[in-house]
Amino acid sequence: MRRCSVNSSDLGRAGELTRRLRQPGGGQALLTPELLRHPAQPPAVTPTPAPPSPVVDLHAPPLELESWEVFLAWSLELCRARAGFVVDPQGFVVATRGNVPTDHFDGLGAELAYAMEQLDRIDTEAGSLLSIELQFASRRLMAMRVSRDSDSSFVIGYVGSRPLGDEVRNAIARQVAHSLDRLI
Amino acid sequence: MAYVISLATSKGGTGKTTTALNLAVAMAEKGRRTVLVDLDPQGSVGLSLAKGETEWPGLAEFLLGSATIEQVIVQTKVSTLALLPRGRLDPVETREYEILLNSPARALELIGELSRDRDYVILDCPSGLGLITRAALAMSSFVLVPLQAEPLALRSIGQILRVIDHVQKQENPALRLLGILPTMVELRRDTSLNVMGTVWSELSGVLETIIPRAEAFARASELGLPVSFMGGRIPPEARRFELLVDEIERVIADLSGTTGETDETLQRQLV
Repeated sequence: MRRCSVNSSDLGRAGELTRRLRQPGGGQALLTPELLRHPAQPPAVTPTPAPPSPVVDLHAPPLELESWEVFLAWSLELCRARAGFVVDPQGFVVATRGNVPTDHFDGLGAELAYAMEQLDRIDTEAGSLLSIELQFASRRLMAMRVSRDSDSSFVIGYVGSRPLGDEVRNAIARQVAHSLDRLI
Repeated sequence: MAYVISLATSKGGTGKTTTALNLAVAMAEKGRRTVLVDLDPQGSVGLSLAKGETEWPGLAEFLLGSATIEQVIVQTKVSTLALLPRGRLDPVETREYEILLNSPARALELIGELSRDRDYVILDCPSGLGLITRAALAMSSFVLVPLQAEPLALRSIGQILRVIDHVQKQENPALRLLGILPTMVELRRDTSLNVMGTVWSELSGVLETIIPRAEAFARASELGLPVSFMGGRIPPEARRFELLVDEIERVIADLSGTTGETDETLQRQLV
């Protein structure tokens, strides 16, 4: 029988792998938390269409996140928003994630950062504005402001249909505070 | 709790979805409580059943938190078979879908819900080695690798095996290779026969059941049906999936270490 023109060392490695991957003793029927990279308490599933619980443990220690994109991916999972973005102190959008429009939130980001600065003046005795949620006709816009110092604030924005809620907002703030030096 | 079996390949066009669908049907018709999950963002299972892209809500709605599993599971006319379709997924949301599927907590929740009161969960993965395939392997007990009896498929088999090996070492030590399933086999064609010769001699875990290239699959696809649901004489291809179920269950028993508990008998005399 004429042999196929397949690299023999590739085939050899493939053969080795097939033998190794069929060692008996595996194939448990139950997926346990120990087999996962990040064991987490599965959230309770409710039969009613109430706003769902976040899938990430809100009280878990902060993760070591290295970029705004990774942070947004983590936080989108937490808050179930359709999209997220980060605005730097100069008003430029520096990261986006999710269902992002063609302008990458550029105009929205700048307007949002400016608006939050203006809103600071409403109640100066209450300290800095930390977050806002705006319900428009077609969607909800939520934003949090995080600062390393008094002169540099980042705005983290989410577009979705559900409110963030205090617990989610606090979890996101905690994560950003932990990671901000690496993220900037 | 159920055995979770992923069907995964690096290359497209190997008959993975056709195998997943017909295997799930065959399992269910043997009385195994089975659910077939369409993980492919392209919704291959739904397309195989001639369903429109937005016809069913499904996994996407569950992952996005807008529905429970009970609300999106589709009960088929075979009482022991359910489907979890892809759902109404906008192609631009594919990345978000991949990220949510790759969340360990979400995977645990999904498999926990699907496994309850079932014998098998069949995960039809998209072709390729991306996030969804990795997520499926991380939540599976076994992986079945369809291998098209063509030289290109044989040259690329190492890729999916390396990913399986990596996931087993790094994320899911219990994962096992259920087997390599030759598909689209044409033993009368030299090329196909040569590939099979190499497969049989060089690889371990090649299943005895092979799926031939057959017109019946194209006809079934045209009708949007599993091959055993077409009218008229039952095609021999349908019976192959019955054999595949038997073989898979034997392999599972071997790999799970349960062989021997109930399959031994006393020596007997014939005359």
